[in-house]
Amino acid sequence: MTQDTCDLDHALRLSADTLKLKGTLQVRALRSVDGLSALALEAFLTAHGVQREYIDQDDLEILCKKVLNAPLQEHELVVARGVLPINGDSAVYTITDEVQEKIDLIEERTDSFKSKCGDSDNLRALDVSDEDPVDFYEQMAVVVVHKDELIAMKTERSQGVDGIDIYGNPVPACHGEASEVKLDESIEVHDDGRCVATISGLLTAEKESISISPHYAIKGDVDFQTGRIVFPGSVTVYGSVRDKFKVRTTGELSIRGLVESCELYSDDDIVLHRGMAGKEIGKINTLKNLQAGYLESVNATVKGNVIVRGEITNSTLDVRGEIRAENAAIRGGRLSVSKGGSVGSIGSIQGVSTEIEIAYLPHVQAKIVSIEKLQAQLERELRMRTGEFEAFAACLGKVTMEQIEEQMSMKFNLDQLRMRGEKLANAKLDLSKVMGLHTRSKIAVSKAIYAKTIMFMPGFKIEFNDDIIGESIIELGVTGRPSITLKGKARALDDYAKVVSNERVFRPRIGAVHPVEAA
Amino acid sequence: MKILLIDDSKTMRNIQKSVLKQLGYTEVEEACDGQDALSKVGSFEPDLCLVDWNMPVMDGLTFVTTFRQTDKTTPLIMVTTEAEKARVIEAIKAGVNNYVVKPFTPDLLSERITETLAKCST
Repeated sequence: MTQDTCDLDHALRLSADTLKLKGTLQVRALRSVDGLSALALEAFLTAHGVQREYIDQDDLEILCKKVLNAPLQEHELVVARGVLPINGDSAVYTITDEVQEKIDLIEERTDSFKSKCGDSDNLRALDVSDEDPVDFYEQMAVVVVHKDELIAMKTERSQGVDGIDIYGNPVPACHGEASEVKLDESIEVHDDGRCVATISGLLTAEKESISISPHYAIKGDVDFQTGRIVFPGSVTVYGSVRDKFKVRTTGELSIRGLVESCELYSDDDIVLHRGMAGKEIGKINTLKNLQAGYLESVNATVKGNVIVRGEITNSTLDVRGEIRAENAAIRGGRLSVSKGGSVGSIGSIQGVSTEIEIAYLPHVQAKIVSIEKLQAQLERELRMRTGEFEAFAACLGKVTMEQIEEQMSMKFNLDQLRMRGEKLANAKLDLSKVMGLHTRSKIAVSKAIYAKTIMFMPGFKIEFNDDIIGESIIELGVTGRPSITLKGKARALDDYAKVVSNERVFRPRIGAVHPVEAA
Repeated sequence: MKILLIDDSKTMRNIQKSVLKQLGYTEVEEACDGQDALSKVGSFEPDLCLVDWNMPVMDGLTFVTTFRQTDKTTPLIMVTTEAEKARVIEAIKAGVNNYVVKPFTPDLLSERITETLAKCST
């Protein structure tokens, strides 16, 4: 090499970034540019191990031109580029728009509630108006989802694609991670990524987990903070339920605090650890059992049994099971019970009028009554048609073809009426069996039955005009009349009360028309 | 089993339909005379016809005669007030398979239908 010849080895310097994905060529100030060309630069690069396919020929040309134009200046340019690695994505759960909308609504509700009441939860400060965008009564404060509802979509993690540096060496890519969000068995992840609720209940969607609970625990009261409750599972209220609020559940409803003039509905048991003061508008409706400390001025419909520890005062109770209230006093109001049971006392020393219907099954009784009504109508029609048929037959001489057909038609209609009668009788028989199976005409009283108590048993009304103190059992005896066993001795109930025939709770008579309807 | 009832009396058709229902036959078509019946047999393709004798427009005997010109097999039962032996023979000659005299009981009609179907299926 002469002095005027460009010494590329000394004039050029190749540097690379950390991952060696970019090769930068630096050219020092040159006194002579003889022999400098893009080809020479490429030869320098390849001699330093840079793979030809990653060298950018255009950039080499640009660099070359820059040097030739200003040889006394230093120049540098990225002239080689490797292949960038593509990192994989981690698995993610994306909440569906529908569920997200519910979550947003709850957040909006919470914010609005805080802005109205502050952090003190001072409900008195809450000014609820119809124009308010948030209905604090109707809208619940939690997200409820239902079985089979699509909750989220899962995007699986993906593998990364390795890159190649300018020397041809692989540059490893990062692979996607598994999601850190935990899902329990309440949400099923399908192969196509759909995350579907396996149960109905309360949705909790947090950074670390998404889950559904079939139980909703309300730490405080049911009030404007919670909204009215409609929940597809069980609910425990640790506080009270405020006036005019409703709680409806498909699972057990348990309330630890006070319950006032609100409405409670459950497809399962209702347990009122304290009791309910319904102020005559409080309602309870359960498809199973009701347990309560006390019931005061309450309207309740209970498909199962009622268990009360304290008192039942001025309440209207329709119980299709039995009443178990051995120590409870029933004062005032009306108790209708299908399967009898046991109570502490009925009525009060002060003579509060109290009505009890024993072995009452109203919906079946209503059906039987309507059947008997139809039977009575049918009987009348049958008598009339039979008379017409007999009269027609009696006045026939030599019968014509038309008369034969007319006679057949009348006979056919009579047969149809009789068949209908048989069907009605069978239906009545079946319903009577149902009544027999689902009613019990017996009530045990452990302390007293006070005067002004009126009891209805199948076929009878019993008016107690004097107090009966002591343990007693009142039931329909073998004679079919109500009897009393007082302090262990069987006695005629007529000696203690006025017993009269009454069909408010009636005893179905198989095959007979109901006397009221017949009349 | 498809059954065609041919009778000008709606009540008679109802009676027969009721008996058929009790026997488990629910696919029933009705015709009010022989002419009406002939217009329906093509589309309905009955497996059995119950035919009254005295009807307006076209009587039962004419229907049977006409029907038998094209269909020799479908069972036909004449249900009529015509009880004279000569009339019965006339109907049988025309092509009916059985004969029920009005007034009939549901049991009798049921018996004749079963008997006719059994006989014709062998």
